[in-house]
Amino acid sequence: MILQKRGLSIISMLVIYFLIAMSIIVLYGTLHVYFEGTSSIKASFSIYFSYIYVSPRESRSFLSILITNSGAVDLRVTSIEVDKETLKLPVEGMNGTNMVRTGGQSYIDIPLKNEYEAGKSYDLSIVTDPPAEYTKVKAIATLKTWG
Amino acid sequence: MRISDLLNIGEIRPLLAFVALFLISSFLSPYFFTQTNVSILMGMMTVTAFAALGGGLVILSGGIDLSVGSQIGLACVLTASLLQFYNFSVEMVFFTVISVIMFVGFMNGIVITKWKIPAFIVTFATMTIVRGVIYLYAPQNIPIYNPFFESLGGNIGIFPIIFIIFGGVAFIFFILTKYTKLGLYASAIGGNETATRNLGMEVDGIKVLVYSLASFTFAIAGIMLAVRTQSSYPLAGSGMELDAICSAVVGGYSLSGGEGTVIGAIAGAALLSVILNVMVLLNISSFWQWVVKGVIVIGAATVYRGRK
Repeated sequence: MILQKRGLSIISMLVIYFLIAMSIIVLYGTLHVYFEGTSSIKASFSIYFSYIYVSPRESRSFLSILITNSGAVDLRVTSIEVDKETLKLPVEGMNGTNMVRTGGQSYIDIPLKNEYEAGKSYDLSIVTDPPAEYTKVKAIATLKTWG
Repeated sequence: MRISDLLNIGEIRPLLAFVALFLISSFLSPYFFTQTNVSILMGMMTVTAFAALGGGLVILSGGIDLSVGSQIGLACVLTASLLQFYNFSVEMVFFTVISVIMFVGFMNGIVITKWKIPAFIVTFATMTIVRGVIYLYAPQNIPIYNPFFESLGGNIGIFPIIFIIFGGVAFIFFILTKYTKLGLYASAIGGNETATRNLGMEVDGIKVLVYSLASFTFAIAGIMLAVRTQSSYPLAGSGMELDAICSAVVGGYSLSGGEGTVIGAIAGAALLSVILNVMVLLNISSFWQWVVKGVIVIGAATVYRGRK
């Protein structure tokens, strides 16, 4: 109301505010991207289940996970760390795709090299591109016979 | 200052109804009057109450805003995307979201006053335009991973932090509408626009300011929704226009304009939230909530009809 007495209408004052605000936002956005680099898009996923299937007869096992992309961008599972074993995907003998689209899910079977004991749980770390905030889950080893 | 000076009869009615319903709900469900549920209720009420503050202000000036839900949705989506995709600082997110949403309200006001198109048509069009923009901009859910936003989602005692923020904003709105010329002018325009214009007031400017200020509350509501859900989704805020109008009408706002107060709008939002909350606790289908909201609007409008 003070500025009104100086001859500025309410609409003019609002227009001035929006012009200043827009300038600040554009300037901040441009400088921010320039100094901080590109946007930090983060992936987000949920693991519906994660099992390490161990054969009772042979010393081989495989990891089975069902991953759901709950984020805003498509993600690619680049590597998986199970206990002390690191696997860069895709590996030979892998079933399923390591590319998960937004809102979609992927069932992946990955053959493991190390030996795992049925009944134990192991740390499982999933590395994605783009990176996700929370990446660590547990995988339970269980007996399974296959042909 | 006596309490009766602060609360006029129009405000007492929804407040009494709220207290009565609160007591009845405590008897209806053993889970209602528990610390956890009261805390949830306050958090649940916050977004609706923000929408009711802005929606009520527009109704007070004789207008209507049907784009409440879309504006809240856009604010929610913008908040999440600026934090996650563009890594904006929290202060800048608040400033950007508030400015952008206020601009939507400003444009609503300009089209209504300068092009002389009824508010119902303009805000209805804005509702679909903004919802379309949301789908074009971010058709997916955007999760928020921000420590500050996570802390905003917490409680101080039994009070959710967003509820405390709401208290601050509501107090400013109370002062703004009760003790400044803005409330008086908005009410005068709602009561009789032609007479107010003939008195030499800047009616168009005040109406544009009212729509912009209402959008300010919708922007905060959208940010609070993002805090509550720690994410955004394209359908965020959908249907909130009905909640805002319903709360305002229950709170004593006259849909023809000129009558209504901030306390009434808050009481209306609280009343509506209690009804919806107790329906959930009593295991009543959520589809009935839509029916109940509609019936409440008609009921409240009928109760207040004879008052003018």
